[in-house]
Amino acid sequence: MADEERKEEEKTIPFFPDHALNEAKLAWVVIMIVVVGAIILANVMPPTLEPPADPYDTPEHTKPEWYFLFLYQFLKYVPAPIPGPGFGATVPVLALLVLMLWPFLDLSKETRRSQVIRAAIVVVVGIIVLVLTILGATS
Amino acid sequence: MGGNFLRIALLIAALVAAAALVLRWEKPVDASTLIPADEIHGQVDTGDIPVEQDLCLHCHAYGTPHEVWGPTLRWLAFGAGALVFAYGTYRSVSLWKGRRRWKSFWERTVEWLDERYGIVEPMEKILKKPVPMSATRWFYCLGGLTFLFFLIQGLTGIMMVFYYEPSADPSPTDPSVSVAYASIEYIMNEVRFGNIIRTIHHWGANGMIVLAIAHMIRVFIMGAYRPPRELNWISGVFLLIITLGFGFTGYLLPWDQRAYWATTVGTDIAGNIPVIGQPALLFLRAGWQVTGLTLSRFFALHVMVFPILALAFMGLHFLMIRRLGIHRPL
Repeated sequence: MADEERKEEEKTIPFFPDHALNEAKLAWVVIMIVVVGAIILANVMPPTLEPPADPYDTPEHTKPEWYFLFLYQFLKYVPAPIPGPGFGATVPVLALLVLMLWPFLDLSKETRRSQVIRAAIVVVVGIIVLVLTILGATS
Repeated sequence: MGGNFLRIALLIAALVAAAALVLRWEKPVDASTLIPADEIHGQVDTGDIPVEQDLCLHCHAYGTPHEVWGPTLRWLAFGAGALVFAYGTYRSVSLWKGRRRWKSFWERTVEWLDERYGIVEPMEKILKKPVPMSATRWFYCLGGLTFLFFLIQGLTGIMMVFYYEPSADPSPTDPSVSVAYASIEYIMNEVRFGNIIRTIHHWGANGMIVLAIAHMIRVFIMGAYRPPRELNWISGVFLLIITLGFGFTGYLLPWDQRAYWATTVGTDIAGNIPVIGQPALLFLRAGWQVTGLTLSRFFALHVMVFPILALAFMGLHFLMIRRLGIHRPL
């Protein structure tokens, strides 16, 4: 297969110790950033504890965590061809299904052009998600 | 036979001598000779820590009758072991002009295991696998970094689960807050480095999600999901769902206003999915409302179910990568 031909031509390094050391150094740097960052953040901006839970007191602005904000904002915008809240909740599930089954949906050949198209999809979706997240955070 | 008997007898004699040494020096002290803790507190400033918890003074405070030989012998024994170990490692890497090649403890251990289990051959295969230079670019590290963050979350999570109590009942010491809330306050204020551990866990959760998505984008753009790697991609999406599940279940655990209402809204939305929504809501909330039972369930999901699922899917994900090799770029 073309893979093996390329394997013989392409320069390789042994996993141990060369690449393993690369990874170990990167892991060490990342751990140091996390630990030192946490020590700084713990004093400057620690994770808070809001007032204790009160089932009878609904706060005015209740929002999910930031990584769900785009979904939250999206649910406010989606018009409902099917009446009721079910449609807004189904769209993310369908999107997740499309994502999971993507290798079976994308039957194109692997070319530079297909990579560029996919990068464009990522950029467009990324911008949409970013805008929705910001709107979700501020509204 | 005689030599064997001698070796065993010497070993037993050495153990008995060590035990006698420790027992003689570790004998309990007459408590009346100790300085009471509050007097020490007056003489020595240990800051916020009571004398009993001070690292050095706790042995001298009233009520903990130990002598100083215990820690001394411990330091000497472990220190001697460390020095022997370091010496052997040094000798094995330095030029050794003697008759027989010096083997360090590492090498002897690997040989011993290899004679019995034949570990060298498969380990050689794993460790010497060639890595193409194209796979050493920075964006190939994102998956491994996600795994690193998973380990960090696991470690800080274990440290916190030693102290966290998943109960919504009012705390006996402060009835205005729940036991769970009080235990997190305890972690933040009383546990040594507790606030740092919790901060790492909080930001590590966000970081892991960012890295997982970045890794997914990298794989997506480079088309590394194509045959034969479809299952790899699917297991990856499952891992993303599991990571988001970790975030969602962990978010409820402080049992404060933000947690309670974010969970209520989130499960509400899940409940609106047609067909599967209502059973999903009942399963997640353990009832129709978010109650203490919900907290228990989310805790079990966060600490038992999702870790097991994560390990299972990660095992599959990594095995498949090993088997298929790294996808070659164009």
